[in-house]
Amino acid sequence: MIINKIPGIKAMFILTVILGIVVLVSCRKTDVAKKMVLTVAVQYPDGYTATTGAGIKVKVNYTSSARTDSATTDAAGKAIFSLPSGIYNITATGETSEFAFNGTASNVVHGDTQTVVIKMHAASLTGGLVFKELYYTGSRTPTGGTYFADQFQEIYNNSDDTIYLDGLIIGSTMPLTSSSASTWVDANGNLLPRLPVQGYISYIPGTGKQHPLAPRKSIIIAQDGINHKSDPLGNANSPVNLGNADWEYYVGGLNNGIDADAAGVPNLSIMYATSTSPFDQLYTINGSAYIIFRLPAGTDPVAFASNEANLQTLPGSSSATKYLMVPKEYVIDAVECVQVEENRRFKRLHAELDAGYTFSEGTYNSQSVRRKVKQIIDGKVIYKDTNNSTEDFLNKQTPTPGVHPTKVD
Amino acid sequence: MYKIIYITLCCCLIQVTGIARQPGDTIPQPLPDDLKLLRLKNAWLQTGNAAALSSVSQNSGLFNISYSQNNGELRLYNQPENENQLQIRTEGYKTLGRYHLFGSFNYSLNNRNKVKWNNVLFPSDNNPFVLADSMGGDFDTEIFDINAGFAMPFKNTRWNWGVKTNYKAGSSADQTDPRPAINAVRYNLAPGLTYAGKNITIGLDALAEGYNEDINITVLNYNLNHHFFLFNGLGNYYPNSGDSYRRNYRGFKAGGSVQAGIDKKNATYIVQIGYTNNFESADDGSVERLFKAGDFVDHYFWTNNTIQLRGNNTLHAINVSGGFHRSDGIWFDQMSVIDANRNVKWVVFSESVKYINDDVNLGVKYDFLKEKALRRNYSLSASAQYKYSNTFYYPEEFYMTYSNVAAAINGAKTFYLHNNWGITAELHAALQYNLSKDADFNGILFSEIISKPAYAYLTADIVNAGGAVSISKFTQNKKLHLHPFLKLGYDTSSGLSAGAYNRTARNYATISIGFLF
Repeated sequence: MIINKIPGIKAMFILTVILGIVVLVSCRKTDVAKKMVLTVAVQYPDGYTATTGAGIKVKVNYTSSARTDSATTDAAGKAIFSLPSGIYNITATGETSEFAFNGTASNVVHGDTQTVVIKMHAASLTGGLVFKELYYTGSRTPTGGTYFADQFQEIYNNSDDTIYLDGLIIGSTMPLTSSSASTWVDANGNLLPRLPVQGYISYIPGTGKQHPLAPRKSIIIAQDGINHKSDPLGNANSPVNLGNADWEYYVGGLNNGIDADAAGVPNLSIMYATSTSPFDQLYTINGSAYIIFRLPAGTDPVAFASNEANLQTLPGSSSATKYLMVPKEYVIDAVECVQVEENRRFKRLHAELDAGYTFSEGTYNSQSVRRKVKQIIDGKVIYKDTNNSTEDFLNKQTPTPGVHPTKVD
Repeated sequence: MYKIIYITLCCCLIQVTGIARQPGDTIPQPLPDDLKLLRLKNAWLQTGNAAALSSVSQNSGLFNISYSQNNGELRLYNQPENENQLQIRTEGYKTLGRYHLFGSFNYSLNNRNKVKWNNVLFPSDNNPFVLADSMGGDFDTEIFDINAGFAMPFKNTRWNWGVKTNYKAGSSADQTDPRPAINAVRYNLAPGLTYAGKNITIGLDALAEGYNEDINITVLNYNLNHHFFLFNGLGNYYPNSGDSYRRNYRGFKAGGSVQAGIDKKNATYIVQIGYTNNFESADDGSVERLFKAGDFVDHYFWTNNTIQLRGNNTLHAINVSGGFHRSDGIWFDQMSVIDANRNVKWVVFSESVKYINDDVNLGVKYDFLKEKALRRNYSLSASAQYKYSNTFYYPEEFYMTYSNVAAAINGAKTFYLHNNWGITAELHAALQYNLSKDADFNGILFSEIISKPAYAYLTADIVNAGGAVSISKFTQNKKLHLHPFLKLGYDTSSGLSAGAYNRTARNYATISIGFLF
């Protein structure tokens, strides 16, 4: 053949074959990403009349994007999704006239076809003490500085009975922020049955019936009980006047008077402090896991905290700091406030306390999170309380301490 | 460190190129772009094979300082709104007996202003794993680019061998929160071999390249929580936030090509085929808590064919090239776990190819050079290019596909004046026209600010025109040949197609001063 007469053609042919081998060797070794079936099987709590949760709304949130998929369970109590590989938070919610049902599965690793079983918890809809509003993000000063002394929590009596607040304890759990998985877990990775509570853990003093809270009324607990808008030590840009708060945190007795005592606003009593360095009871601007709880009748809060059996150090840490361990059964209401980033929403609260979470869109944005209004009957506001703050709370709210909406959300 | 390298390389380069010429050197002295013409006239030099340096017998050098500015809205979403650049460059060829040497040193200082969605320096252009913060900023960037090469024949044989090496280091920083500090380096070694037969020359070369880049983002104001975007293709990203962030890129590129050429008295024909495999891996965070931010694999197959016809004072060169890139972006799904020591770690539970990009490039170029007494009289060139790009993101099946054709013409004329002055005028024009396009970004959160603007830019019809003028003075004496020159250039591109880039422009101006030796 004439081609064979071209000088060097054999060498070129050999080299081309070598290149071809290189090409073949370089073929793709990793599979192309595909969607996989995730079946969510929902079950009612033990003892409930039905066992499989039909007609339950299931939401799947991808933890690394804003993506949310929803489906309703079929007669077999199953909701089926086709999802990319990833980590998902799954919530199942339903409601009857008596109960709100919630179930969650957090940080579900979805790398193959699988079925996730969610056993729901029932929450009574009869009412009780609830967090109505939480303001923790702080505000910007006129010069662009930061200000967070205007934080407050508002607690509402969502029942038709007077509730005495004496001995009601408020605090937040560890970890401080939701940015990473909690290390307060058992060998199976489940949250411990006792909640690790941190900070200046404070309570409403009283002998038992000194501080009644009438039905459909609320109290405001301020970090500092001043008018933050006009006080010389305040911030003209603050959205709140807390000069008429019902209670304030005062920790000056523990931190050598660094915290100023606002005149006219009674102080909460301090049950236990994990550290006396902070200048006040500060809830992180990134969002805490808030709880209100009561100890068994007749238990003195300070005595409870003095018992070493009720204290524990951070697992895996050499730190000597001891945190107050509170059985989850003591909790009256809880709200999980997480960070806005989808992949920084690690749960610190058990599903039966708060099956969801709420969050603020940013920090120092003068915005609060507020519980939705479910009904208004004869001018009395009934807030939504299904123990699922994803469903129960609104974010991006202008703080309204002591003010209750006049419209259903 | 960079200063030491700079001084050392400058010394080496001056040594290599030799400002002082040898007595009896009759090679005509170059004009400002004479090194470009040297490469045009030497077809084997265009192959990139280090051994081809053996074919250069001309001793030439260049030193110049240039300042350039460019600005305008006709730009990719992650490119600076405006940019100033100071550049110092020197390069040269030198033959010492059997040894043929080449060296170059390039230093550039860039002010890249109003850059968004881009906190990286040297990852490959088609690597989808780009780190960005929420604010962007003004970047000061320094880049050192150093090349050295030599070639020599094996004694008493028809074989030549050579080695080229490149060291490119850069640093870039933005002084507004969040503050990326980027240090990057690429370095390579490219040996080559040629065998000159009676009528045919065969060549073989290889490339091994290393790459490393560190990005360290810090803040001064800890009261703000910043967002970091771990982009992984078509505007999709994995979110993160905080007051600091670290990323490290590592990469390795290996490849090679074979060449075969027929050399006649007045003609040269060279065919070349090559393959390059490029791997880049991004890791985020600390060693104790490493997050795999994506592996990039690129296969590049290419061919280059050159025909050169030489006449009396004329040169015709036709180049036909083609290339195919297949790029994969491998994403790792990871979960945060607590190990036995209660430390939080990332563990990979799934890896998959989420990003696939195929690019096809075809090009043809014709160059004509008319010389006068071995200097350029005038030159003309015309080229046409076709590009097809197809990008998929799985499993959602977002995609972007388009094809463009581009044509360009260029002409340059040198006027030789009295007293050894010369003026070279150059004009060029180009047009990019979109042939086809289609995309689906429905469901991408950043589709309006990343995916669609990028798509609009890549598929825009663009017209480009510009020119340059340079003035040179030829000074000669027996020992020293230094030819100072001053060059001014201006270039403008305008968007023609309807949409985001309609009636937008990008303007580029440069002034350059230097000398050839």
